[in-house]
Amino acid sequence: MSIGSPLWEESKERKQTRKRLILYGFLVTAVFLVLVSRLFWLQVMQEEIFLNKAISQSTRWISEKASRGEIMDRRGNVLVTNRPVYNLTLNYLGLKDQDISQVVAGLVEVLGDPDITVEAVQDSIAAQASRLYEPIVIKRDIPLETVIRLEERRWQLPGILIETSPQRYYPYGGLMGHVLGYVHPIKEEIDQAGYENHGLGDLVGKTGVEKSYEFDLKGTNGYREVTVNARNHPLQEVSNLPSVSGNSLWLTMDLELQKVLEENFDSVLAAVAENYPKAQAGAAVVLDVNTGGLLASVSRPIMYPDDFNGNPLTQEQADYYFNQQPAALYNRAIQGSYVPGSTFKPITGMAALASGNLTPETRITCAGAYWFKPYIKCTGVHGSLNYYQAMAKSCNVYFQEAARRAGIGMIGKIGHEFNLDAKTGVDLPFEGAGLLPSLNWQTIEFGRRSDVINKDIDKQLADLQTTYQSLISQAETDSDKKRLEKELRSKVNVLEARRRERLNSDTIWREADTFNTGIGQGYNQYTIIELAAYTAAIASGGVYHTPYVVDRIYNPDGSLKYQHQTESRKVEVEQWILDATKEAMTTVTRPGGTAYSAFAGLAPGIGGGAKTGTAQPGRVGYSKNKDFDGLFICFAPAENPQIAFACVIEHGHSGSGSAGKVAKAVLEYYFRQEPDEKPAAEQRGELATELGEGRSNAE
Amino acid sequence: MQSKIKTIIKNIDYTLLIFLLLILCAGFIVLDSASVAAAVRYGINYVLLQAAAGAMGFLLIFCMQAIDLSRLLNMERTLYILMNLMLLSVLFFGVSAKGTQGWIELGPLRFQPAEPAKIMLIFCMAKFLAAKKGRLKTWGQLLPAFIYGGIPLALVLAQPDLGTALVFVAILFGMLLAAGGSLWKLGLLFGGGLGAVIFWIYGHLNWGWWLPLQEYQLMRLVVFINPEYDPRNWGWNVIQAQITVGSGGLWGQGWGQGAQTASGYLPEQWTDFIFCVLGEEFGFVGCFVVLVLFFALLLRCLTIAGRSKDLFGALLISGVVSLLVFHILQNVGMAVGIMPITGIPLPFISYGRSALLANMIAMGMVVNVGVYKDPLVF
Repeated sequence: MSIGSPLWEESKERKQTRKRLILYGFLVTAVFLVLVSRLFWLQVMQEEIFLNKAISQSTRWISEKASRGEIMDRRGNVLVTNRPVYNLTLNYLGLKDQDISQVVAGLVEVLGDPDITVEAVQDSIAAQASRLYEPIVIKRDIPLETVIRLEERRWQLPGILIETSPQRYYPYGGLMGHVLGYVHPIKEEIDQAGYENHGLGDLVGKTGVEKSYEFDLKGTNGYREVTVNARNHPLQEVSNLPSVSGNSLWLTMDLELQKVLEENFDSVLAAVAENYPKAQAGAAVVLDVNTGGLLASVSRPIMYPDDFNGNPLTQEQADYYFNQQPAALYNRAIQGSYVPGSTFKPITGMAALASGNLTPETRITCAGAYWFKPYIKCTGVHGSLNYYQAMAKSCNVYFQEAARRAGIGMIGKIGHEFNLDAKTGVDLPFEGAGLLPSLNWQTIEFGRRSDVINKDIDKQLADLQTTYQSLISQAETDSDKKRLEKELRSKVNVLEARRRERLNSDTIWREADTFNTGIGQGYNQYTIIELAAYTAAIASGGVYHTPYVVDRIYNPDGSLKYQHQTESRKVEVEQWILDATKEAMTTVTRPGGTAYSAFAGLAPGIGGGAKTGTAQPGRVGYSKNKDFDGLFICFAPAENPQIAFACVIEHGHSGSGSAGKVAKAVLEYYFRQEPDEKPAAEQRGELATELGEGRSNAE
Repeated sequence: MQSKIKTIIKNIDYTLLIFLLLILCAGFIVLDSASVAAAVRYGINYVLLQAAAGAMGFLLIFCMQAIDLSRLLNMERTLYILMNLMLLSVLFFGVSAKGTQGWIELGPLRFQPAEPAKIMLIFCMAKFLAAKKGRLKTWGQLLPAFIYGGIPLALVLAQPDLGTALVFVAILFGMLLAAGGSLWKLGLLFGGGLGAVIFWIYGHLNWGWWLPLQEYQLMRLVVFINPEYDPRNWGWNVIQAQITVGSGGLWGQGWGQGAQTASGYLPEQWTDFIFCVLGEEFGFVGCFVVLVLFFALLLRCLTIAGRSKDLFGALLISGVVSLLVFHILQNVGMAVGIMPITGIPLPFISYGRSALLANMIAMGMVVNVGVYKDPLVF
């Protein structure tokens, strides 16, 4: 082989090869130019974008949930606290999509928990789609045995983590449940004002104090900024902002009194239900007369805050709380409006006295039925009665006459003074307002109704006009035209007559309405807390205190953040009227009064004032003249009253026989009179007897 | 004899060797931070091993100068058969690693026949094409060359080692270009082949045509076009490579300071993705310096080729240049997102001793052409 030869040096081949090598050199140059330009674009022009990408993909903000504030009763008994629990979480980024079903299958096998299904886990993941790098909570509060079992099988369950976190804990179960409220994962609140610092997966108060003091209780979540590697394992902590626990609340509530109230409410309800099976619900409120502080409050059916504690409700629970009648979630003490029955009579009385058409000594004779239409019957034939006697006997004739003399305007004015036409303003969410048929209310309500009626009739008139105008224009002869015009006129007249008739019946306040209102029937509707607050205002001699439940708020460092200042307002009713009415109510608790039995057991010298009520709500589920709500309002002691009480037992049938029994237990406990040692069954027997005669006893 | 050694030492192209040494040193620096995590995990000092192989490579380069390679031209037939047998044996006795059957175990030794095969192909091709003396103008003249190079190419494809196959294609075309092959015919073949492959893949994706690619190879092409198609799996490397390079900026994060590098966002960062580490820690300036060194090295090679005493030497060097240019274009291109991902290392910088030794031998061949540039000396 002699490829290399001296001739190569001068050959044409060599020249050609050199040309090709130069060409090749340009090709190589081109390759490097492309690479360098691309590098320049990436590293110099786009640096910021890629740097941000690099930082954002390696930085994680891990929120550290703040421990929620505790809630104490007035003596410092812990009503709501936190306990550490184990949560089963899924680290989504540790998994690939296709692994999830495998991991969940493994979980189902280990746990044997019917709630944990592939779908349930996928729902949880979907719900947290925007924050997948945070652990997804699959199940809160798993028992320790399960934790151990899971830890043993760790290697089979990639991405599954056990986290400890503080869980809301209600040591007394359902006690005070409606007042305390419950916490549940945040949903629609996240978009609402004030919730900017809340994150997905946070638990927020949904009802009760938990809701109304959410921003105090929540605390401030802490954050740890960590860099993570490609597998999302934390590498180092960049910064750390520790969490600050929530503020603690001290309530006005009295744990021991609450226990007494709830126990007795339940036993009375059970006893009533033996005779009247519809009796399943009710509510009661105990207020501090001198401050408006809520001492105890119950609503039935009972609500257990722990049922909502993070985990979804079972169908059975959802039915119990939301769907059944009566639904348990509802706090009947502040959300339910009840026809007050005779518990409204002190308002009627005060209105009559204020009108100047009645004095406490004026005697009115009851002959068994009122002498004006619709001749509403009384509970008995009471004869000649003054104010005090009429209150003691709860005479319907007397108070219808009182209402007539006062006029609805004055009744509305007095009711307004006792705040019966507005929410009390208690610091609990979802409070309802009553319905006081004052003149103001009539103007608004009747205006609304006449608008509806006028609109309806006007539309019919317009339709009639259109129809007839076209008929008349098509009419061939003058006589046809005349006949049609006449027909139109008569039809218009019929409609106008109907308008007058409807306006007359629906938008005019009648005397009979005043009579009904006077005895607490008709349009009247109030919440139990409204009744309690109004009772307290009478007891205090005319000072209306806005009810409240949170007395003090402490910062986590123990310093006082907030101290409730009593909001009081003098009721604008002349003092002698208030005194006379308070006195009239005390006669109700004396022998011969309808509330005597409730006060009979109290130590001498305590006494008090009260009013029973039996209301015909005329609502769905109530048969007329057969189903009655039992109501009871009272205060004690008679001199220098301390507590006010209001109670309703739905379908309780009589006020003294149902709600009065609850009042009795509360009063006896509060004034340190040992309650009866009689067994519960005997008590119930006695109660049933009394209930049997309930209707014949005047109320 | 004495004077022969003296002449050899005098004739060695030290400029080339200095460029090579600088590139190797740059490689050790980058490898040091690229391999931190892997070094801890596997307990291997990658830099030390790589440096030892580099030193051995320099020794080899010097030893290789003892003989004029153009005197070994009659070994061409033997080498060609040996090369094909080696590649064939992989198909039967090959050991799998990272998806391809590239490895052969000879007792304690484990090596990739593809690496020496590249060198052998360059040598054989140079001999084969030199014998044609520039007569590569007609299709009839080009065809034998394609058959000659096509046989080992087919064997590599059968492994399947797409990356090495592409290197063979680059060597074939580069050497044909230098050997005086018809420019427009080569261009037509290259462009037509590329177009056909693209059309084939398009047909596969749209009409389900059969395609001799494995899923991972196809996915690499799909995410090359659209990295966001599957950002956490197939698109991961494409996206992370660009983030890593791009976040380096002009001056880089500093040696050992690359967050992406340290946090393991890139797999194989001490081999295939080592350029990303260079980009992140030393920035555009560092990349530019390394690329300039490579460019200088390659131009120096072409200069030596121009001084070759015969066509064989010039072709031998152009083969080596093709090999290196393709590796650089492919490896850097994949790091900056202008090439699809293939497992092709960056010469002299990526960790890998078979490849480093093969590349050093290739450089030895270049030096050899320079040393024996005057046919009348010996």
